[in-house]
Amino acid sequence: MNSKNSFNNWLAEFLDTLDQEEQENVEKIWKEAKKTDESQNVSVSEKEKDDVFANIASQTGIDTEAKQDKPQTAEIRTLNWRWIAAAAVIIIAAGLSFLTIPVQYSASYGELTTVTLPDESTVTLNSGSSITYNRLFNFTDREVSLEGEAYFEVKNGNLPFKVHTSNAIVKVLGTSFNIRSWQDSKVPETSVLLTEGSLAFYPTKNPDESVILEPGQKSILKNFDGIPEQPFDVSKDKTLAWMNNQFAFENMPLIQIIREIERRFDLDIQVKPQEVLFDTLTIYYNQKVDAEQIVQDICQSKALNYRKINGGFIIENKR
Amino acid sequence: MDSISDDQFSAWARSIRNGDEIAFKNMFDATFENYVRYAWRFTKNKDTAMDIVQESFIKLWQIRSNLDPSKSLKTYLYQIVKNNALNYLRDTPQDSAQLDDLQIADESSVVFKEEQESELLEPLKKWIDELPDRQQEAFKLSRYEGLSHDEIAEIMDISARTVNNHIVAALNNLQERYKTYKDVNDKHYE
Repeated sequence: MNSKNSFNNWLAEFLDTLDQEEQENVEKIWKEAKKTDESQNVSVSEKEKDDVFANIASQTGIDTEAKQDKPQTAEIRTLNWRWIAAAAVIIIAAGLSFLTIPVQYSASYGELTTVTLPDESTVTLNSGSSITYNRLFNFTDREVSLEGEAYFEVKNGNLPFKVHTSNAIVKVLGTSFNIRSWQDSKVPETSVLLTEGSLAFYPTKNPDESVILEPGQKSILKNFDGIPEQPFDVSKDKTLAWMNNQFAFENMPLIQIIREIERRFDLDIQVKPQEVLFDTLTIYYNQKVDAEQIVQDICQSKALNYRKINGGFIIENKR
Repeated sequence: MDSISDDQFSAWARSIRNGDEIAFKNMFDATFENYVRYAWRFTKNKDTAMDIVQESFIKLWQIRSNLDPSKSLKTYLYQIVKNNALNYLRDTPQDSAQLDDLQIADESSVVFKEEQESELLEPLKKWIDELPDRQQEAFKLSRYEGLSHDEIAEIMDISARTVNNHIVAALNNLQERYKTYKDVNDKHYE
């Protein structure tokens, strides 16, 4: 935000030194100059991105895939604590470093995945979402990190259950709730819907600004230094539509809807007119719907055209 | 990339410094295309631009533990990409380099031009490309990348004051040429 302000200041300062004709010229040049940027015609597909990251991974030893695909703690939860204590001794002997490698689960594009945590709580991950927790989950704490959207059914336990997102923490004892926190919005944003029990929702940076949700209520936190909205009643069905492969969004920026379609249907969608990306849209399908139908409806409502390409769509202005 | 906050970049910087592979991947996913476009301005070729950005991210990961928390990760990566791109231009004979033919790059850019109905774009593009090097670099970082003067100062390794001078000089320069251009055109129609 800072940079934007100082940026306008210098331009205003400069314009002040000019006569009126010059001012108009400069304003016009400033405006048009943006359009001379030919690099905006260069676009990178998800596939190209994945390929490049695979190269980076192989040259640096980064291995996000393996952690996602091999749920290495899956068996631990069937063992009793004595075993785990014994195992812990062996693990410590084998090297403490193992414990610092977090466990991660994710749902691939086009899929929903349900994960059972070591404390028997379950998490259903929406396409493209992931959760991470440390190997001492259920011993030292019950804390998971979420990127994306997930529905949690938390078992009662002695340790508080906490979910961390980029900007917020949700703390519960035993309850069911939905969290949505993608990193594709303009500012970090987390929204929580509670379906059963009760929970506290607060900014990571400011734990005192906590709101308590009741079943059927939702609250949203934007930014790192914001405070959560007063909880309000919402339709549970719409928020949880994704769990039944339905599609429902109320006043959601187009860019986030497009990203959701890409994740849910494992597609690549390019939107050429940048100016519509942050327009908000409400769409709701109460039955299973295919990607093309959604894209078609979006285009109709925004007076845009779309065409099918291999593995996705291109949305563009009408000619 | 305007949409990614400074807070997000510093959060990534902290995590990456601690070896958080997921944060690194998240940053890569969110910023890759933007840096490819920046590299493309040097090479005018998408494949080499992607290679350059790939090398830049590898470098970033290798030096992660030395990341300076007081410096912006965003501009730091701009610097790495710029250096790699300049090295590439130095080491590759330009007559053998492949350039993307943007004239026929895709049909949507044709639509774009029709709708714009601005005759100014072509000459303006030429004038910008003819600006003195430093003015041109500062102007493009400001206008194309949407960076602040402070951020540009870090990338160009000069003071923010000098950045301002360069951009103002560039605008004056462009404005003069536009004035001449208008005069000539007006005469033409008389």
